[in-house]
Order: sequence, then structure tokens, then C-alpha cells
Amino acid sequence: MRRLFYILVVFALLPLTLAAREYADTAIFQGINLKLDLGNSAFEPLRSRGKIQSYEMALNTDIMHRFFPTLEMGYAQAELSAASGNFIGYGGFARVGLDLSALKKRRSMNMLLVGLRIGTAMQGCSTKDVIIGNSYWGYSTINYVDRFRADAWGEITAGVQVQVYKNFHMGWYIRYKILFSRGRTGALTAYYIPGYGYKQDTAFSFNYYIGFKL
Amino acid sequence: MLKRLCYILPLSLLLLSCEPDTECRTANNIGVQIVFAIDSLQGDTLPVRVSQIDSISVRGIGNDSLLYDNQKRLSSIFLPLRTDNNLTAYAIQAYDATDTLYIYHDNNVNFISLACGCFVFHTITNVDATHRLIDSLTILNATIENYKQDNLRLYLSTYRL
Repeated sequence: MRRLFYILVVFALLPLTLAAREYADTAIFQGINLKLDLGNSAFEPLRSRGKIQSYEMALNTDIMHRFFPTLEMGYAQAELSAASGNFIGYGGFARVGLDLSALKKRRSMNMLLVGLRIGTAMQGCSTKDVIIGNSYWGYSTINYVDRFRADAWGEITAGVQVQVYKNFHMGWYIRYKILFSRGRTGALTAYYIPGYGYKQDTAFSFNYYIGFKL
Repeated sequence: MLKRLCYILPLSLLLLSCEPDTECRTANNIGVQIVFAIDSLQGDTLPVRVSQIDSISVRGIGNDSLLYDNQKRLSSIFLPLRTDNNLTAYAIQAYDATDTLYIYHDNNVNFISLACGCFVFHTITNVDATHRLIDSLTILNATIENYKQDNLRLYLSTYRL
């Protein structure tokens, strides 16, 4: 998996040098895209039966139809149950990064995008009714409430964008995520991280969005 | 081509989901492992003989149910400790004698995961016993976590055997 990560990074950065020469005579600033996530917002509550909600939007700047510095922001909350406890968490997240258009023809709004992101999330979370004890002496429960937690991760993204009407476009991103703050254990461990998903070393996620070019 | 990708691929991706395991797969047997021995009459120079007890019953003080009920030929017993108290006491009955074993311990609560809950690890601070069956006790490993190791050696009075 790590080898795949390095290969993707190399492929993502390779067009940078080519594009700089190719677009030396083109206007640099080509507009701003506003994207509203639809897929994740609908999909997460559906998949989790209403226990997870995640909403996000993105802003990117079109530079020479080639580079897209991107800022993504959102909010998520989760109420999850497992055999030995219940987790409640809610907080915001942000990702910054860069997308590159991977197509040769770059005049239209139709694009194949690859990119990288750095993400961070901050949340308040509680882990309640955590079972403690053994079968002989009996069980009791304890609560870890009102904890604050921050996490960070990196992402490799790939996506498609197509024009649907005038300045409107739609598309999707698939994201491969690598959690940087994985070392923390104990009661502060969050079961769900806004913008990342379930706390695992790596994760995939998906966004389906509608966008508008300002 | 791009438009097809835009519409078709997301539908297939919606079927993907990666939820973490909700079943606890971490070993959660936590307790004190006690091995039986007979003290050598030659002192520490000869190795300690591990002894088997013909028949043994063990019950926690404050609990009516037996952990071991006339179990035959045991050379060790495994006893869970209290998580709500720093003293766990057991009544050990064998060879027509009953002794009370007192284990003093610290409890350390460790949150493992939502699936596993909290494990309480222990550190033995002291041990004591009455001396009808038990001659003496030695702490081998004071730390008790979720892996098996010998924690206490219980020397039996030789005149009972």
C-alpha cells in the first residue's frame, strides 16, 4: 500500500513541470469554483442509518486550467454503538491541497483531476457506558465525557468533473486517506473522525458534488 | 467518456463501505496466575518443586459461586481480581483445610476500544494468607495484564500432603 502511495505521488507531481512551460503565455487566474458535496451528505446518513452525518463544501482556484489549489471545510457528527460502549462525537474539519488536471484538452470544464490533501479535524467527543470488570466479580460502566480531540491525515484524491449547464458542473472524488495521528490510544481515542471516517490507519471515502464557477 | 464516468462510477462506489470491526478480538482474560510449590528443605539452593493438588475448591470472599469446585490434579489456578476494590480475597480449600488468600493490588483502567471496552490491569502490591494449608507466598510478577504469566508462587505446608 505504501508503494502505491509513492507511485501516485510521483504521478500527481509529474505534470507540474510540463504545465509550467506549456502555459507560460496563458492568463494565470481563471476563476473560482465552489463545490457543494451531495453524495457524502446523503450517503453517510443512509449507510449509518442516521447515526453519522457529514456535510462539506469546497473552494478551489483555477490557475491556468491546470492547477487547482483547494480548500475544503465541513462538519460531521456521529453517534455510534458497539458491544462495550457508545461514542458521540461532533466537530469540524478542513483540508487544504492541490488538484491537477490530468487531461491534455483543458479549455472546457470537463476534467480528470488528481490531487493531494492535508486534513485536520477537531471534535468534542464522549465515550459512554464503557464496560469494565469481569464475569466473576461483575461488571460496571464508566464514562469519558466532554473530551477534546484533534486529528490529522493525508489524502490522495482522484476525481472527475463535467459541465452540466453553463457555469454549473458536477463530479466526484475518491479519496485514499492515511491517518497521521494514529498513535494515540486510551480514552481519548475517537471512534469516528470528522472528514476522515472511522478511526482506522487508512480509509477510502467518496464525495459526489455539484459545483459553480464564480 | 468523462460524463459516463461521472454518472456510473459513483453508483458502484456507493456499495463500498469500510466499517471497523465491532467484535473484540483482543484477549481479555485478566487475572492472577498462581502456581503451587513445595518449599525445598535445602533452602534456595535446590529448585522448587511444582506441586499438584489432588482436589481443590476456590471461592471469592464476597461471592457465593465457586471458581474451582473439587478440581483434580491442578498445579496452578487462575483468579480474576476485583476491579472495584484494591483487595481481593479468596478461600482456598484442599486437604481438609481452608485458607484465605489476600491479594492487595492497584487497578489501572485502560480503554482499549469501543468494541472491547476497558481492560483493568493490576499491579500486585502485597499478598497475605492464613497458614493452615499455605506455608508462604512469593510474588513472581507483580504486573497483571492480558497475557498469561505466573504471578504468584504458593508454597504448601508439607505436613498436609
